[in-house]
Amino acid sequence: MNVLFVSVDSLSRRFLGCYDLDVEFDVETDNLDRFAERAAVFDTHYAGSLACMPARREWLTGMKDFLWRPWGPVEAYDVTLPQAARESDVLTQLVTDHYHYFQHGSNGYYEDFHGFEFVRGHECDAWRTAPRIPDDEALLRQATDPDRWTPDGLQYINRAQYARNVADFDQDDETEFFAPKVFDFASNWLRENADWDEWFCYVDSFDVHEPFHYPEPYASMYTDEDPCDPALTFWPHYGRIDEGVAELSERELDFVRAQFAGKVTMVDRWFGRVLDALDDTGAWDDTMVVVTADHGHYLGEHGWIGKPAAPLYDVLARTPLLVWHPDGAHNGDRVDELTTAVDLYATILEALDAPVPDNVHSRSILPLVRGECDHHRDWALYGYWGSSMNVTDGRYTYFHPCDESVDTALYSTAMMNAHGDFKPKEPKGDAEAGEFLPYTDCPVWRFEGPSYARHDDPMLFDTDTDPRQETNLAGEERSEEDAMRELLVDALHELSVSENQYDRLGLPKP
Amino acid sequence: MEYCVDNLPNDLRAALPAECVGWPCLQRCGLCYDEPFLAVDGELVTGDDHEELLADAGVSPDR
Repeated sequence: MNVLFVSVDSLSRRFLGCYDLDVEFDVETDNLDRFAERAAVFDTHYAGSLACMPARREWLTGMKDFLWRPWGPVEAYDVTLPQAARESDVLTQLVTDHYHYFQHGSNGYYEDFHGFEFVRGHECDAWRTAPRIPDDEALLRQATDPDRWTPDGLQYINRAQYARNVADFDQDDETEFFAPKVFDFASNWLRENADWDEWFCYVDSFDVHEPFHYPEPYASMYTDEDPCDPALTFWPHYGRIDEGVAELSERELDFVRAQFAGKVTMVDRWFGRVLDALDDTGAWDDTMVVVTADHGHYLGEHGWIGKPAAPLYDVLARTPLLVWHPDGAHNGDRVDELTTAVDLYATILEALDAPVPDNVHSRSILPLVRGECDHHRDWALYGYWGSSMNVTDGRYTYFHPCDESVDTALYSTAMMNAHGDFKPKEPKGDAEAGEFLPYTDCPVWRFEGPSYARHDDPMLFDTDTDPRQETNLAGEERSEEDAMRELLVDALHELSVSENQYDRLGLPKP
Repeated sequence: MEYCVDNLPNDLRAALPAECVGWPCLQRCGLCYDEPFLAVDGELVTGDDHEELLADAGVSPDR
């Protein structure tokens, strides 16, 4: 069996026709819809660890990340998907424009692939150094706000990097932009490597992640505004839309939403090339195809923009999952069972007939896909390290706050930053070493970082009756709140999290 | 007044009045790595010392 794994960063499922399009635009996603007609569409799939690299550690190593550490590298005790596949005589390939793989704090994710293609230049990828001042003043202004930034400032990260990276792109030629390059390479790879006995190809598209900048016809597809109007940013900062550094006017927010939608359509068009390659090479009969996203993206919902310090509503945490398997029992149908990001690791290894390490947190959904069972899991935990703890049983979502006065313990073989994910690392003089983790005998560093509470009180939503999560049911002495809190404690106990987690969450230790 | 949790010393953070809003990341990593900074009424201000920036913003930590 071959496996094609496609992740589309920030792809919010409410922008997809196969998930009951819940936005004001009629977003064109013909190819994702075409794939959804063939695949099993999972309606209750949740992110695990957020944001980008924590999600990839779950997918690529099968380990729950955020319960023990923030954004960080592959650990010495992890077995990556390409490593496990390689040891089972499977050819492996990574195609990506996800530059976080190559920044501070993220080593180990691409090295085990037999081949990797890295499309340079997205967002703040440290790529081009010329021109010193990009000529396109409108682009610079849309990307950076030069009133606040020095375009040639040499600080570690400067948003002018993006304007410099795309300065040589033909702004009328979509083939020079990122998703087209990624999916074009992937489709060619599928055609050129069909004679290998067995392969695993991971296509990790940074699009539809911001900046929401790309050419026509997409740039004007969902807006009447001039997409190059320097007064309209295509790269809003994260935060509240009603005040502070991320404040957006109604016009600005409308534009951002339209540009997000346009990028979804551009990704979809080029994803279609991959489907064409699968058609043309006759690969469907011996290939499992998985399409998902690491998280969504707030675009004004609940008053937030981006992936800010907000509670983890389903806008961010309930992600698309579409799975084609030649022996799939639900192909062309919906699956309501609860699944979560970390499960994809064991699923892919099982499909490749590769052994799944005993110590991982991943549970293969392949029995569910093949119709060999009708229940997968009772709970899914999701969140950011050092913050609130979130659990769902597939119907209720329960957000449990943390006590900010209690720091969060961090465990890793690396001295990573607690926050400031990809900033240069700083030494942790107070770290102690020991065998602290329940899933490995490997000694790790243990040190603490500041906790961050996204909300002060528990929050509970019934996503069956309130899919937009507008009515908080917590605090009404409902039995469901007690049940979800107990479910959270059971899940933490099952995963043998550290005592520090119970302390910072104010939950009873088992 | 907004601040980045990774930029402000933790003991100072605990002493700030409730109207000061902390964020795990304000997406100003270059500034954040280089020097103390705050956002006051949506505008970024930088300086050598957080206490000084807070005083300029009219914020008195409770220490």
